Amino acid sequence: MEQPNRRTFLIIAGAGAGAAAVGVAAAKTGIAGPDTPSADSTAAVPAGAGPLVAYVEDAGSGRVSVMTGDAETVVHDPDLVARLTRAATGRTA
Amino acid sequence: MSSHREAPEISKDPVADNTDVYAFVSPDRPDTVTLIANFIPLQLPYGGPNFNEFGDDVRYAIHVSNSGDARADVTYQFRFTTVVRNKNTFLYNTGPIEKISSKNWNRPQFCTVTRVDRRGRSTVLGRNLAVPPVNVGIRSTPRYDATFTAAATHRLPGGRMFFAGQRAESFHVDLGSIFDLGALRPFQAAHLIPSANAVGVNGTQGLNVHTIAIQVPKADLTRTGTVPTDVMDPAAVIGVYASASRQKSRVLNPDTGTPAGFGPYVQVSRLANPLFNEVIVPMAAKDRWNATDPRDDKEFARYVTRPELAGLLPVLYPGVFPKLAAYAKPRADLAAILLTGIPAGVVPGFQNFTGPVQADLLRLNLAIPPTPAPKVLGLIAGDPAGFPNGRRLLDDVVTIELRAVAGATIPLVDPTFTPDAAAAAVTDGTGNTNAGFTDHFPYVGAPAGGFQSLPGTPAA
Repeated sequence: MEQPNRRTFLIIAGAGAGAAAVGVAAAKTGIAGPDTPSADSTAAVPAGAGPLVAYVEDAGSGRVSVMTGDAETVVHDPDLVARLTRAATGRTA
Repeated sequence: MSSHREAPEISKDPVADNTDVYAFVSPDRPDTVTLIANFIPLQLPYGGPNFNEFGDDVRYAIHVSNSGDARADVTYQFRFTTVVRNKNTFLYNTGPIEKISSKNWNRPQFCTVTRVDRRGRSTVLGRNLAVPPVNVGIRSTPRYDATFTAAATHRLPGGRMFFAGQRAESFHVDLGSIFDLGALRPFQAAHLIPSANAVGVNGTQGLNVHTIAIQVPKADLTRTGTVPTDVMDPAAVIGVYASASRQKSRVLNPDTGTPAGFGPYVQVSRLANPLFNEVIVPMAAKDRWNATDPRDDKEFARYVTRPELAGLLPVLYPGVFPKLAAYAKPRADLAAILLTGIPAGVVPGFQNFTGPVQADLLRLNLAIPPTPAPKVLGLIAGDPAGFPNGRRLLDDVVTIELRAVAGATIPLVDPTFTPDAAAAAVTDGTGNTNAGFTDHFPYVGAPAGGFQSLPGTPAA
C-alpha cells in the first residue's frame, strides 16, 4: 500500500498499464467463549468447534436452534433448553 | 420506487435493498440475455468518506425460472470481498486511482460469481473479479468511464459477461410528487388538493446505484437448453427475479465493532416487476413479502386483483376516473401482467405466459428479438421487446404501470370495458435525466461523480 505523499497525490492519472494480481484473504471472525471454562466443559467440546449461536424461540417446545457457519441445526432437547433458560436468568442449578 | 426503500425493514438496510431488476435480449448480442439487478438506492455521489459499496455479508442473486413452477432453475450468486490496504488512513484513496488495480485505492472489492442449478449444484464462474471504485471525482477517479468500465467488465466461461459496480440510476420517477398524496405534476390541477400543472421532476436525478449485471447465452437459461425461435412456444419464456439474503443470526463483537453472521441465509429483499412490493403489497405485509419466494405469491394475489391504487385514483382525482371507479371485477389484466404472464390470444402474436402458478416474476419471451427503435412504453405501445416482456433500461415503467392500474389494460381481458380517457394519458412526466445508456454491456450509464455533482435545492 502506498503511503500518502505529495508524489502519489500528484501522479498523472492513467500512467502505467497492466493489472496487478490481488490476493484476497478471507476474514475470520471469532467470538469470545466463557471466561473461565471448566476442565469438564472443555473436555466435552469437539475438536475444531467454531463459534455458534443457540436460539430458543419457545422454551416450552424444548427446541433449540444451533447456528454455526452457514448451517442451522434444530435440536429437540428439553434438558438443554432448560439449562439455557436457567443460564439466561443467571441460575445455574 | 421502483423498489427503493419499499418496505419498512429493508429501508433500514440499503446495502441489501434491491432497487430494480432488468431482463432483456441483448441488443448487440441477440443470442444472449442481459440480467441486471441494482442495489443500494438513492446514493449521493459525494457520500464519502465511506462511499457506498456492496456488502461482504450479503448474498446477492439473480434467479431464473424456466419450468413453470416459479422455482429457480438457474441462479447466479454474487459474493463480495472487501480489502483494506492501508489500515492507517481514513482515506478511500491515497492518491489518484489511475487504474482499477491502483494501490492508491484503499478499499477495493472483488466478486465471486457462482451458477447454481435447480438441484443445488454449484459452478464457480469467476473468482476475485475486480469491482471498480465509486466515482469520487476528477482527482481521485479521473476519466471514470474510460478508466474503469471496461476494466471491470469480465468475460466468464461459456460466453458470459459480468460487471458489478456503481452506475448511474436508470430508473426515473417523480418521487417528491408521487409520495405527496399521489400527486402527478402534469395533472395536479385535477388533484383533490390542487395546484397548477407542472412538468415532472425526476427524483433520482444525480443519484447512483450499485449494479450487478450478467450477460448469458439464451441456451443457458431455457428449460430445453436451446435457443427459442417461436414466440408462441411456452418454452421460450423465462421468469426472472433478484434477491438479497443475510445470515439468520448476527452477533456484534464489541471488541472489533463489527458483526459476525451465523446460520443459513435468509432472504431480506426480492424484486421482479417494478413497484410490486412498493404499491401493490400493503405496508404490514411488505417485510414478509420480501422474505418469501415468488412461488408462494398466491397469498398476495388479492392485492393485485384488488389494487389499492386503483381505488385511490378516483378519490385523489375526482371525476377523472369514473369508469375505473365503477369497475367492480377482479383485475384479471393485472394478474396476467404481474403474476402469470400474458397468455396466448390476448395480444396478437405475443405471449409471455409461464403457467398458472401465480408469482411475481419478470417474464421475458426470448424468441422476441430486440426492437431497433424501442418505445419507452413497451408492449402497450406496440413494442413487444419492452416491459412487461422483460424490462429494458429505457422502459418508462412508472407510466406503463400507472396506465395499467388506471384501467388501460382491462380491455385486454374484458372487452366490455372502456377505459377513462385519462388512463391513456396519465404519467408522472419524468424521463431519464442521468447518464445515457450505452449500446453495449453493461448498458447502464456511468455513475455521477462526487466532485462534479451539485447538491439539490432545498425548499419548504
